[in-house]
Amino acid sequence: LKEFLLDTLQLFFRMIPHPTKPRLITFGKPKRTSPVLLTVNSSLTVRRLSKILKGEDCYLLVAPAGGINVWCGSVGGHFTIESIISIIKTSGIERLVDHRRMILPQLCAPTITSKELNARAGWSAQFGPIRAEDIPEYLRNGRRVTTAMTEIRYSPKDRLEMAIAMSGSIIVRYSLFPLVIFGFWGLSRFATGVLFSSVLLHVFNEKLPGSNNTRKALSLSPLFLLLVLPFSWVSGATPIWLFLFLTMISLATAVLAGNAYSGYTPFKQCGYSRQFYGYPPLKIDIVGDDCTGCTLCDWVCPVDCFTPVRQNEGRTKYVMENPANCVECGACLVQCPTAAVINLFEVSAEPAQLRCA
Amino acid sequence: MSTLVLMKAFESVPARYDFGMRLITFGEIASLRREIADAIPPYAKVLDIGCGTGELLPLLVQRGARVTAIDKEPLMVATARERAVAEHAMGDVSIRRNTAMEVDRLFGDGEFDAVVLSLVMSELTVDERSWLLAQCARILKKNGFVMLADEFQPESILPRIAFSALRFPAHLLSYMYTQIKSLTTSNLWWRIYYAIVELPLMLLSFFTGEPLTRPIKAAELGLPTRLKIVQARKRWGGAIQLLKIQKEEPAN
Repeated sequence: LKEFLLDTLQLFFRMIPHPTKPRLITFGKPKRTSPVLLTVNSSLTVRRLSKILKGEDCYLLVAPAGGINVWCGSVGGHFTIESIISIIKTSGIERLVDHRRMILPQLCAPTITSKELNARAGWSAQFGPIRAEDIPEYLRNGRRVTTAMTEIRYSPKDRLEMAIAMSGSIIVRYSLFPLVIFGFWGLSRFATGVLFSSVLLHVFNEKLPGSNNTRKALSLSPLFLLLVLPFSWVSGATPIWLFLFLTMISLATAVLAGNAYSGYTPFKQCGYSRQFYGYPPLKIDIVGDDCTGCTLCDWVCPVDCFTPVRQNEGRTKYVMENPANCVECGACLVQCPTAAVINLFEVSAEPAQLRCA
Repeated sequence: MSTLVLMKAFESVPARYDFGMRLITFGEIASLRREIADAIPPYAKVLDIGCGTGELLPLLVQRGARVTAIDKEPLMVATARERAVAEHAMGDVSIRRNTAMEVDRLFGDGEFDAVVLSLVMSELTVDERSWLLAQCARILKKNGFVMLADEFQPESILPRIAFSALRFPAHLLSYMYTQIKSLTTSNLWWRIYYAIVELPLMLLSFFTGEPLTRPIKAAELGLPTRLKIVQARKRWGGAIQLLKIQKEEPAN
């Protein structure tokens, strides 16, 4: 129960860092050839991963990355190659295993390349599955990822979790306003409204009416009004004012939830990155002549963007098939060994060095 | 991708770095640098780990030292190079972009007469500190030494409380300042919106996140057996210390 409460609390406050101590964790009875996995020192990540790896024989390195999750940390410049170098040196892993191969989470591909890690620390890296649940299967299959493991799934459980994370961030940011205007009465209604519209918006997004997310969220506000009105009676209050206040609160929560929604799904870049932190827009394409068909871009892409195309002489090349799916993480741009993947917006700065998420 | 990703405070931007370093050393940074440079024997081979904007480099070169400097931030390395060129010191200085945790691969045994660790240890974790000191013992020549200038946690209780209280607002202010400054948007209204709406998040992140610097506890320094502290100069009741740590060969 204590763990469940901690999980929920950290999920609710997902947008602030939760660091734990960078360290080496041993699972089972690893041998000198056992796999070495690496993750970031976000407390929630480490706890979940530990639960999944309980039955395996392996080492887990927890790299210092500011207590931020893998994807945000790597795109935002906190989880870098320096984090990995530091934990390799301080954990003494080089004395425990004979090989020099580590398994990295796939979502750190926007920053970390095996080539640079090899040059600077003498370790090679392979990207494992996106989801921690797939790791046991991945290890049993001789460390081979399937297509399903390299692409993001957005299951009902994930939707609920992201809804909690989103409502947490909205409540922490904006609850000062209802508190000042309406007092605690308004604050509690505001928080309920945010939670209500976040959860419904995430779980039933495809079924809601409306052409964009804000309209979808607004379509929920009559339902919210209907539900909270019976509980909102204050003795001595004029019903018409009560109704007006509640309508204001429900509309405000719907607009906030609708605007925030797409940044809390794995299918869109977060709204802050471009507006505040100057993250460059990416319009990815592949220069056909430079592509060697090494499959790396398709492998690291968390969504379904690239497709192999058969060429003459049995060679394969990759093309950008579904640009609409692109989440602009920049992983393919960083990983491509021949620089065949290019950004059509012609921004020269590397996405990995800009600090945003 | 939805976490509010926080700007790394001092390290990333050179102009703020110099200001921040003055702040956390209570203005002692210039005289600390002077003392470090004075301790270096003429024509010594020196390694400056975490050179920052390279303010120490011209002082070392004036002593006739040949300096190798490393820093992990590309912007810092660029600034340090510019400074070295402006001070006509580039001939005796080489500046590389590497972290302190790479010295085991970069340098051989007994390569340096002196290693300078100026305000770098407090940015490392306890494990990293002891690893780095063990490496210093390896790359130093016989009778070589480490000059370590940093924030320390005073040993007696009253100064410790006083300095935590002093450091806290300084850290908080510089953290908030960097957060707001790091926005690339030039729209004033967006900045004001950000400052109001993100304030609770910034405060929470400041408390739960990792601190900008962790003042060193002398007991946790983790000195390897070959290194001995031969000189310790304490200022501000032990909150700022300059240590000279000598490499001593075993008697046999």
